[in-house]
Amino acid sequence: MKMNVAPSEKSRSTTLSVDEVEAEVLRRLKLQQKEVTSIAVDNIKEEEIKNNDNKKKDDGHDRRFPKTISKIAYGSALISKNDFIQQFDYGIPKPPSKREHERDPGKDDVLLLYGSKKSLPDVSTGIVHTNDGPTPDIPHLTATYATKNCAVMNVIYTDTHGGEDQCMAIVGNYESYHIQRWLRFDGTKVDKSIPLHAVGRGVQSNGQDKFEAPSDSYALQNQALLKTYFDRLDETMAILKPMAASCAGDDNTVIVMVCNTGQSDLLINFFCSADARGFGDVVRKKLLIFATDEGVLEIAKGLGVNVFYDEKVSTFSV
Amino acid sequence: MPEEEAKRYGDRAFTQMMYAKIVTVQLINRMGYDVLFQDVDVVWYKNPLPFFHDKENPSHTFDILFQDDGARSLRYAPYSANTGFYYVRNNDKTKFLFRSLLFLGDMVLSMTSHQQALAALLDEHSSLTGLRVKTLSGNEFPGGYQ
Repeated sequence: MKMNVAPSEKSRSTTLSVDEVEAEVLRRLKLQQKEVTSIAVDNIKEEEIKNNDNKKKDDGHDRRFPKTISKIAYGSALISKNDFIQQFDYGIPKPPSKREHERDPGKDDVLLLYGSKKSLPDVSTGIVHTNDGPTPDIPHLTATYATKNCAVMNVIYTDTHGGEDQCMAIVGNYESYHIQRWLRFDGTKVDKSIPLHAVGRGVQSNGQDKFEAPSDSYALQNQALLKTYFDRLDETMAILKPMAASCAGDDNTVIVMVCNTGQSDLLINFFCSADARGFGDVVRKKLLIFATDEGVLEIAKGLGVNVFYDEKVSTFSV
Repeated sequence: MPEEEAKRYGDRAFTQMMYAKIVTVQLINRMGYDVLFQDVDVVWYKNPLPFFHDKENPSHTFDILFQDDGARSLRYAPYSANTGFYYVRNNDKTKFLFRSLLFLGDMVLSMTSHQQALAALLDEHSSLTGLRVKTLSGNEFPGGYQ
């Protein structure tokens, strides 16, 4: 029996017998096995080298982290989260139920990883080694002391989303300032049996995407809005400039509100409230109302406040 | 623009007002002024301007400060910034932020939320340009029913 097979390097357009095909398959399998075995041996050797390296002690002390990650984690310390956030306020709030002094169980401390010997605080007992202090625990330090010699600090905020089975990987590599999100998600459903896939940060554990890219129709609507904006820009600025300058006064601040007739009750309430509390004059001087219809234009004028209205802009529709 | 009040979050009137809120802040910001933006449903217990102008206040180092929305959902992460009350200091970083938001109208429209689009931008700009964003304490600037 003869059969056609994919042409090999030597025998293009030749026809092989079944026996010859079998022999060729066996030959290639053996070659592959040899390669796999060779790679496995190399990996084992590499692991042995790493393990030997990692077993090394520094002056008889056991390292907390292996040398294979010494440029990411040379040592570590714990810092109270409240202390850390107070010291390094990036503006991000705590959970609404947690006030500055309150605990956040399971997230009470910050794990600080030192990237080099130079970054360690003056006394580094327990930071690099597990057996040079009274206990093998990671030392708990103040935010100020722990970071005393950190010339640079990268901070990662993360959450476990209500006990989600989440892992965190820190990879020493070409630097990225964004956190990658990987999820067992095939584009339609989340399933623990499928491999982890890179997803956008808006993809939730239920597969819903909070940050889908906008479609062309939204792009066209935005184009129309921008056209109105740029068509009216010079004229708008000419009217607005003296109004804004008057509101800005000495402290360079303008209070801005946008209002339509349907919200005018709320606007009047704001003025009544401000008058009752004694800062109605501040509001009348500093506030610039952008009226989106003629109704609120008249109401704002009646309240004695700066108001801007452009009929041509107000007629645009989304 | 609609004359009627928005009936629900994200309806047509809401969306149009939302875009107007972006443009107005962007215009005043581009003129070189600091801006305190607030929705009409906000009332003051105290005049907030001295808080933002106080150079001794640790918050003075921030470029843009928001009332806390209170939600900690993914779409508002990480600042949970409430676009119903916020203060913008005038500088190149905030000008770039609001220009970017202006051009991000397709995202605003698709999400029917300029708060969500701005939330995403705040994260990007704080990383990219070093924009300093601060969510204000709920004790000093409470939101919601009081």
